[in-house]
Amino acid sequence: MPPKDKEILKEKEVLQAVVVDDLLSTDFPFSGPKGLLRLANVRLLDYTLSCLSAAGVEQTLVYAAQGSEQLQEHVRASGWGEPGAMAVQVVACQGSLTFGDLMRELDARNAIQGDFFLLTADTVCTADLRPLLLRHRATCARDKNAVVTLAFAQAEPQHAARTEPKQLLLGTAASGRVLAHQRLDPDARNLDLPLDLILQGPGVELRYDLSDPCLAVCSLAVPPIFSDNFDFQTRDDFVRGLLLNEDILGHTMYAHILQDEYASRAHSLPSYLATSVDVIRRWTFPLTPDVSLSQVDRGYRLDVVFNICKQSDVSIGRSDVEDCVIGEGSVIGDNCRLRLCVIGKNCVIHDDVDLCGAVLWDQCVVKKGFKKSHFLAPERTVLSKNNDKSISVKVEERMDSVDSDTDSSEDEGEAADEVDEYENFFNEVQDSLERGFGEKVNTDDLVVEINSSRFANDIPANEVSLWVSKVVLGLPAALKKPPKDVLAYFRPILRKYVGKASADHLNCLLALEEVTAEGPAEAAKMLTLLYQMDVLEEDTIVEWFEESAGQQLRQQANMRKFIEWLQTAEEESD
Amino acid sequence: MKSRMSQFTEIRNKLAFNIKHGNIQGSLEVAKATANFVDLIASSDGWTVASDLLKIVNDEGKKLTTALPLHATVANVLLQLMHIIRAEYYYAVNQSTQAVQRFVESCMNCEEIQEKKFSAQCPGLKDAILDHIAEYKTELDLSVDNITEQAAEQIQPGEVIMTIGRSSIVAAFLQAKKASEHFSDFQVVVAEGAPQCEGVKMAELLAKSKIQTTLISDTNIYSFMSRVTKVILGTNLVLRSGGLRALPGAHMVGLVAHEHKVPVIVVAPTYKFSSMLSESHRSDNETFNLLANPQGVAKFKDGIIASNVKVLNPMYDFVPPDYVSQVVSNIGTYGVSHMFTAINELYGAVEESAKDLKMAVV
Repeated sequence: MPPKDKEILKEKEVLQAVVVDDLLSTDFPFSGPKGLLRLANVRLLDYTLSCLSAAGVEQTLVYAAQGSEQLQEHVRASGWGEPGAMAVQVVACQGSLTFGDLMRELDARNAIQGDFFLLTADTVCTADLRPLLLRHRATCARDKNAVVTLAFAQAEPQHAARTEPKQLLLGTAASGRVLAHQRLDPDARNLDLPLDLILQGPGVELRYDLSDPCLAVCSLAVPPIFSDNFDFQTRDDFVRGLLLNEDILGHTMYAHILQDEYASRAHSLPSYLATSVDVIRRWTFPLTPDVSLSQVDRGYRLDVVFNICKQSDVSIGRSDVEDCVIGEGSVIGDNCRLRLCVIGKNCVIHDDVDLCGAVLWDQCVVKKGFKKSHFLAPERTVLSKNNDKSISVKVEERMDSVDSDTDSSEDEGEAADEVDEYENFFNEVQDSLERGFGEKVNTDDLVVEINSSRFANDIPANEVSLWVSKVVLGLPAALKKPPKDVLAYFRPILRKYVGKASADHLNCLLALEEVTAEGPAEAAKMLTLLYQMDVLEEDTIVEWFEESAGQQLRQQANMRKFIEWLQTAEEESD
Repeated sequence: MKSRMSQFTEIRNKLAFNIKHGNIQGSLEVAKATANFVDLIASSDGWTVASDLLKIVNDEGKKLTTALPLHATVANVLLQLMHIIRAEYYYAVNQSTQAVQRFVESCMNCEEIQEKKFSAQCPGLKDAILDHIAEYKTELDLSVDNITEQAAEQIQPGEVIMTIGRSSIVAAFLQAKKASEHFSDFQVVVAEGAPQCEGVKMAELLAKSKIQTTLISDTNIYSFMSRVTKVILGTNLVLRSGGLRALPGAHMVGLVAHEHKVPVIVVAPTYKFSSMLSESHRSDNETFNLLANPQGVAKFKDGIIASNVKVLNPMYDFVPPDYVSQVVSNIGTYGVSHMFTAINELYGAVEESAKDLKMAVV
């Protein structure tokens, strides 16, 4: 046959994408498939499909672990998959629950023809995916072993978008090849990196400022990798597996960092709430309810002045509402304060309600006077002060959260820090002295340790004596040794810190009082010892006893005896 | 459930795709493509009476504008063509120019329109409509030329002209003047138009045509205005009131020009004339402005900003009719106070066109 016919027979390559709709986290009070979870009142699947159709994808395959009929119905009703537009096919996979299982189904069905986008149903991404695809193709042309290009979004540490407890550490070579991929335990103090990471040549980057939106471009070789490795359940397994077996199988991964573009996931409750807020704050524009999230006009219109995105038939009373998405038929009463809220359809919010960062699904009722921030209320919940069935999420306090005007929260923050510093100091000194006593360390060295602790925690000079005394006087109980031995050993320390100033002596006495609060009988004994060691002087002790000592101590027989003896001693020496 | 699909679905989706992905670039091309789409519908066999045709155009139009929410030109062309269909129907039914005159006048009084159901059979209506649409398309093709012809009268030698952002029609306008008389020297001051900063590209375009160009930042608009003799603006929409919906910063330019008694000329072809009345007087369905992605103003990766600061990046600015002197369009130059009449001729009365497409004219 002439070569011309061969050319005609070659199939036109169709740009494909695979959306993996694996099992929804059990945090969510929602029984449907992940793709139908509502984010800012719009189904997650709509965000994903919008992003893909904007990239010019011609065929999207949605692999669903459950609820495929519901997904199919939604796709049809929303106008996705019409002729001339992107084709959307929902594939039901019985018995496949995890990401890995669904990928194995994909391999089994042989539906992939070339490079394809791989996302999960909870990925929300406004980035233009075409440069990602071009980069992948360029990489594959250069490196025959490249199988996947992972996309990462930038979010510096402390960013609200970083909701996972274990954050990503990514190591890349100058070419973008992934050299290391670890999820770091926040409590870990050590980091293990393979040495050959550093030996890869100039331009190696270690990045801790990335978030993983579960977005990638894969080549044809990827689905078989899942079939070959039955233990690959999550996407992280896949990435780690590829890295580990790089020498054996020869597959390489590349990373593409999105510049100035938004991409995130809404897979866990904290990330769901964070992504909701991002949608409200317009970071996901044009994927916002009022613009281009589906083929059907939902009727959301944006009030630009107050950033309220609402459907028709919403009535808001005399309230302070800003930065909200409100579904149709909802009613908001008077005197409310709503910030960064997503309110579903037909909700009723009564007067005097104060909400921040809340997500209410359809038909919720919030009773008068309810105040809360950062929570999710499932459908038809009734929220009131006594009966609160919402699901809270621990979120770092924002500036405009409920029940904190900025001033008081700053003070609280500072106070909290102060208390921590003293506690820190106390603990550090206690540790040093306990160890010092056990190992018979020279007290001069211990003094050095105490001083460095003091400067590290920024303890003011007039309070050092108080805290050091507390530690020393508390040691006999802590070490379970007789006070005589302990105090004798630490005498130089006491003498140094308690010194000559009466303020310091008073501090020491205060410390004594505190330490012996539970066992006042001990107080007299210790006081005697302190006097005998010349740490404290009669005058100060007597004065203190008469004026500022607590009731308990004054009533102690031993104490009284001791003070009397002191006074007679005074008279004698005078 | 009624099917959303019709014989035009595929073509409509392909059109939306092409416009969205920049295969069809520029508002003129978008206008032409939309006109072609309506032409296709009118030429098809799917309708016999005018009301059928209006319904099909309305349905398809609504879906098209939903898929292209950020392209105002699409909505404008659709509404203008629907008005043309009504006008042709009225003419065909009454067969006299006086009737058409009354039709145009009755646009002010929509009760007459209400009574007309557009359902009478009119032989020859289809041909008349197709002819009129063809005329409309020719007008579109000639729109740039018709506008640039007027450049010679509008700009005098030695003028200092200010503009903001990038507008291809304004660039064509200025280039035409430069090309017309060899010794006509005029200067252009381009304000960058933050945060998009398209003014930079505009300055490049003009410099390529050997026009003396100065690029300034928006904050310097006031200080430069004392040297400016004329302001020429492009716009996204011209409203019925004569006000504009233009890029952010345009209001500021208009305000400063007004204070310095500098005339403001707006260059806009008819497909940018909108049936929206004014920023403050519009139906709930019509959206005037949107908050776009804050990435232009601040970066999402900055955690402090992203979590705590409200970053506003409005898409458009409203320029009140007081700040506009003239509108130069392909159907002539209008003083701002005549815009209402001019737009009524394109769309019919406010009430009439508001019912069409029942959509947000974004």
